[in-house]
Amino acid sequence: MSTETIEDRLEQYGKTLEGVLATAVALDGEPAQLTDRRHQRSRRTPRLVAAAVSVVLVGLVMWAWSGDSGSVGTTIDPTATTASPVDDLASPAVDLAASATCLDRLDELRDNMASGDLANSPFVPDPHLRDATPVTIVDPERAAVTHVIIVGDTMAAVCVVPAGSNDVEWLSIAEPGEQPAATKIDLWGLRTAQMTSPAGPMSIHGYGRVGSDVVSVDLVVGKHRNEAVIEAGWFVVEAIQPAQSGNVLKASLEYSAKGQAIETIRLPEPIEQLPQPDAPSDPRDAAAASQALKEAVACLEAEGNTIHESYLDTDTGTPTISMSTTNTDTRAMGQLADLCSTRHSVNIDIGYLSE
Amino acid sequence: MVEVYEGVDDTMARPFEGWVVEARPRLERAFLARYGVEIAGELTAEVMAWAWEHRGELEAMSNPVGYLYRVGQSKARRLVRWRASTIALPPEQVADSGSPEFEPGLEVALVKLSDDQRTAVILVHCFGWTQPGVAELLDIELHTVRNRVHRGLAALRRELGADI
Repeated sequence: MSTETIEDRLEQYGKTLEGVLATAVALDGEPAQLTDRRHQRSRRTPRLVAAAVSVVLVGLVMWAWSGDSGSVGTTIDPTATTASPVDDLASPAVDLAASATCLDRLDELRDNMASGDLANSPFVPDPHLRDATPVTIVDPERAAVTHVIIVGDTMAAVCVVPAGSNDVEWLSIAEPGEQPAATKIDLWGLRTAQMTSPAGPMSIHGYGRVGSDVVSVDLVVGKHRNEAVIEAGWFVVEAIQPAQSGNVLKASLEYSAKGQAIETIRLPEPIEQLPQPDAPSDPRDAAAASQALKEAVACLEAEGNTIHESYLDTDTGTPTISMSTTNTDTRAMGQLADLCSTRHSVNIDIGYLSE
Repeated sequence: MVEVYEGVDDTMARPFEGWVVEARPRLERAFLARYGVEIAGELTAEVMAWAWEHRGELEAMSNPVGYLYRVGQSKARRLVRWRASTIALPPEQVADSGSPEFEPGLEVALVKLSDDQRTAVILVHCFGWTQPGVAELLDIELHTVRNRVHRGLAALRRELGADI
């Protein structure tokens, strides 16, 4: 029987990986030579072309929303005669320099739009996008990055338009017909967010993380929570601020829709009503999980282990114990973990104090 | 050698250069772990070019390397879309595979892990990073790294039929 552990094999494999990296460096030159970007640029040409295609396609999508050559984003009522979104959003209530840059970019995209076949575009797999409503989130801390969230009645899509760049990227597209349509997206600034559209056309909820603090973003497009009705338009989240506790978004929404004047809507505590992602939604489950945690911790401590923390897994709601130990007998620790996991239905993750 | 960045005052370039010498290898290894060898080098080059263009913003960040990793995640989507649909890792060099218990294919098993688990396992156990170091670069909590490493190793053991 081989006495080589997985850890040993991984360590050896690391040398292979280092060799690959060393070879790549030898071929490319010094790793820190960033200035020789002309070579990189030549290699990047195909992707730049692809990015340009993306820009055109996004422009086409924007054009499809607008219904005419009017302003992007005022799309539900094609007869609307609103001013440009940039003008609409130039409210003194918020600093919209970043969003203006973004909208300039989108305006430019629209102006650059050309003929194309949306139906065959890999970027726009569902014609429902043509009826979608764009939502723009401006991260005030990273103003150079803008997120555009597009939600249709059967799908949700996300693309990123970094201000000052032609680099348009689609981040995530939920499959058409998903009920509820849900997808995890990875946003700059927002980090991760989950979007669902279970309640009908153009209704989404998102929550994500900014920095290390959990916040929630509740974007309401259509009739939904708290009877807030926002029919269409650009939405700029004024501030995404980590809450003092819990998952609370302190935000106001600026919007323009159907030619209405700019209004500021402050949703009356909409977020607190959302299920907390860190806790099971069913109170009975929460009680059971808490009890399981207590029992498992007691079990492990009785075995002489030191428990550093116990918590509910944020992904699954499963009670989880994080334990550190200097015991390197992985088999014994694995058996202990399995035993406690079976007995208490608790995940036990063991960190070794090797670092 | 002090590099002179085209069109940029050298005094501005130096701090960035010093910083990037430290950051680049970390990012390249992290990208290799997550996206494979075919993409890692080019992705790193793109991210570092992005870093140069946005150096002013990065200087104000508390964890610029972690932010660049996120930038790389976003840029990688396009590379993965256009270049490679599967993760490519080099084959394991097996010096002694005479044991009947030995199950080859470590690289295949690594590819089968989730992206998060594979990244954590490779950085910690192949490249010898500390778990706090991984947590910093990935901008995640330390216990999350521990979870991913532990679960990744468990999955590798199952996949390779190893009981130690």
